[in-house]
Amino acid sequence: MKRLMFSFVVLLLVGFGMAVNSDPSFCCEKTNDGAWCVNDVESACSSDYLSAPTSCDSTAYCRLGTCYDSIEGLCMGNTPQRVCNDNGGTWDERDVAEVPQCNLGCCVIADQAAFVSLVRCKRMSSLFGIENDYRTDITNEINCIAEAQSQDFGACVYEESAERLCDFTTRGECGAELDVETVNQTNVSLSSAKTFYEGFLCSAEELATSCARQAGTICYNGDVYFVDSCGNKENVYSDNGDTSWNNGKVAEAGEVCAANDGSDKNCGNCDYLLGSRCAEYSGILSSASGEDHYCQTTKCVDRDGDARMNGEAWCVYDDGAGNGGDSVGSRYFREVCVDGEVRVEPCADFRNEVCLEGSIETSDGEFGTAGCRVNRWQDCVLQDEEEDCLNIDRRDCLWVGKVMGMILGSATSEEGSSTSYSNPSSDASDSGDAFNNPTATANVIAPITGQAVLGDDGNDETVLSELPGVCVPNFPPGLEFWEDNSAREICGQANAKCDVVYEKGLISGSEIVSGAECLGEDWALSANRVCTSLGDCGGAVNYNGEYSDDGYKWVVEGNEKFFAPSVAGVMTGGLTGRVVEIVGGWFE
Amino acid sequence: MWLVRLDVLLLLRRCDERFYKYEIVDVCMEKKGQVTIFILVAILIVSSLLVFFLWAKPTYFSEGSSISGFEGCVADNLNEGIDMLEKNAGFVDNDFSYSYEGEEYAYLCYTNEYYETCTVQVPFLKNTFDEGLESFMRDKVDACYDASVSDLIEQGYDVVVGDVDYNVEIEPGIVRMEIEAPTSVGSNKFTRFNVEVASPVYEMVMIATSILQFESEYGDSDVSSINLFYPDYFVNKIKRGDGTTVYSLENKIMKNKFNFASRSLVWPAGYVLE
Repeated sequence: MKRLMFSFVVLLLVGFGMAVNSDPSFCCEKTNDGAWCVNDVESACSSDYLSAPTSCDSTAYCRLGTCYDSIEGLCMGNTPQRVCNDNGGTWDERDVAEVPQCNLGCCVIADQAAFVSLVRCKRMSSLFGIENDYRTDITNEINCIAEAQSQDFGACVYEESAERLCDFTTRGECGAELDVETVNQTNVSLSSAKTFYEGFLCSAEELATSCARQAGTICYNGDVYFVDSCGNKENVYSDNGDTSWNNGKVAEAGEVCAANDGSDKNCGNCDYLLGSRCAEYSGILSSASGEDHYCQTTKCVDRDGDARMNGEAWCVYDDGAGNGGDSVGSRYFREVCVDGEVRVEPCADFRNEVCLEGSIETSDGEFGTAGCRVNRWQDCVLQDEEEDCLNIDRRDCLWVGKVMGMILGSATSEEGSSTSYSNPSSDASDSGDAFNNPTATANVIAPITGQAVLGDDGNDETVLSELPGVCVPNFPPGLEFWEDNSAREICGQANAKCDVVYEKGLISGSEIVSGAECLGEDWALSANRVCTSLGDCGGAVNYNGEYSDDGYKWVVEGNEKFFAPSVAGVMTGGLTGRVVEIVGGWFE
Repeated sequence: MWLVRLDVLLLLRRCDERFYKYEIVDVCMEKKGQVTIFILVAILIVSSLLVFFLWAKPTYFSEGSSISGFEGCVADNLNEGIDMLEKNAGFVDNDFSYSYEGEEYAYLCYTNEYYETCTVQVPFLKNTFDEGLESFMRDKVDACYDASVSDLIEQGYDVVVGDVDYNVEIEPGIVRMEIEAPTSVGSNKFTRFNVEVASPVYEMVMIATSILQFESEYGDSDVSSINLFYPDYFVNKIKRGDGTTVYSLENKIMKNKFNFASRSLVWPAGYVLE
């Protein structure tokens, strides 16, 4: 029953927060800031546009739908009708997937392909000046790309001004008859019509065109290719021209020379994933053979001095990185190696996103991958089973061992207002009202930002947590503790109170009967660890490594205590840290 | 350079001819000394030129337009307009933007709420860019035309001008401007002027449109795949504390940058207890 009550309260709080954010009372067609269709307060709405005391979802003027551009063939979802119409589009209340004009198919343009709408395909074909080739039978992007790669390439030969010319292209783009003229040792008959010779280079001697072989080089799809004197792409560059030319036949890059990681200037088979990409010789640099392009090394060196391949990504963080040890203000970053330069992409602030990394086995070692993804900490404190807590498919939580007297979700703010409720893991009252910890004589207050403090409430009962541990976020979320004292309630959720029972001797002195562990710093540290795992609470370090004990209050028999400098040093190292208080042997 | 070389060669040949004529050996030796000096001077000049043009890269060498007259003037202004508009997502003026490191990033998709995907603010970037460029060029084209006409009149031509109208459109690899300006210069008559400048702005606008589709549909975008599919481009994506995502799409070759911002599917900081 108590557990249910706790869950209910937390959900209520989250739900309430969401409701507050989604209840700005007015739908502004346009705000004074210039934003279209925003729910906000009335004063934020532009007087030149419509506004109504309701949510934008309920209004006609801000209904969202799909906006369709019949010229470019582009579709855009989540667009208000007015915005769409003002931009010359056609608005449809249905989702993008349901609008027929937005249905996707495979658009093949020469050796490229795009998974787009029919109108978009026509538009692109017209821009590139080639015939429209749209295939509705291909229903996904991967097959579409594969279709483009599987096209026949060859020499498209035609006659112009008594000269036999040639374009190296696809059969479709050539526009020749489908009957392929075979080239044997027989004479090639000149014709004014185009003829497609599959698998031949334009410089092939059999074709007798005016294009001379290997007149220069170009960059194409990241590799270095020869071009003939007519400007047609040939095979991948190699210092062995005959091997590359392949007797005038098309050759795969791997047949010309092995994949190049940038160390071989005589091979144009650049490999992006091995760390090389086609580049132009610049400045006073030039190749020994006089070519214009080469495979440029694009490897990077990360912060640790390790070599990284081009396109490789990895995670960087300020410190801590999980296990409840993320410092205040810390953040996760993704770094990626791009053409020899390391670029930084920050994940969402307040640790709402974390960076995860992995690797792919390649012939040249591991290729690192990384990405920012949502930090799933929200329901950690609702979990009371270790198995549920540590279910990484569902959430990012951490199971912390039992802390004597620790209660989550028990705070009452100093003002005595919101967010107080019983902790189902304790023997506290079922009432659902203010925290009632029978182990100590305290009322919970939160006198400073991010701090929870216990005072004497006159209750002498001792309570031990019934659970073997508590579930807290593995990556503690960041808090805006400098604004609105929002951290006060949050941090006040964690309290620990522990009684130490003494037995007086018959004549003099006394000895501890129970709760001796509550007097030790280890107990306070354990409690502090729970607090810091909840967020930016407790005695903790920030991302600059500066320690602050403003976030906890630790009281022993009425006297406030602080962690020893040596312990604070440990916290700075990012190991632990949480809010704790002891009164007569208790803590929060 | 060629003159120097020829001069040196001539001197060398003369000395060779006289090598066996002992009575003028001294003269020849003197000439050989001069040759050495000439060679050194030539090397020095060539080296200086190489350093100057390849390393120092004088700015005036790459500035300005190689096209002269009206078309050149329009092309220069087009380039200026493209540079300006790219940084502001195609807007000449846009008050709804996000400030980041001294630059304004126009919001193309926005919500002020938590847990909601954004509402599209600018559905068709290409149209916006075309219109922005047309607006930017309005006075510029007239100014270029008037300047060209004035030049021709000053040169003594009899010039008859007409109404100037134009259309500008971005296309793959280029920005094309068609200008209708019926003009008579003496007995010659001109009606239409076509100006094209090389620019990757169309490709950048289409990549930005793709990002926008992801932002409005899923609340985020995967720039890793974009960076992989378009190796000539790089998308800088920076998430800010308020949930705004700042995008800067960069063309690695021409160094153009297309900037914009989005705020979509934002999670609040920590627990929501308001």
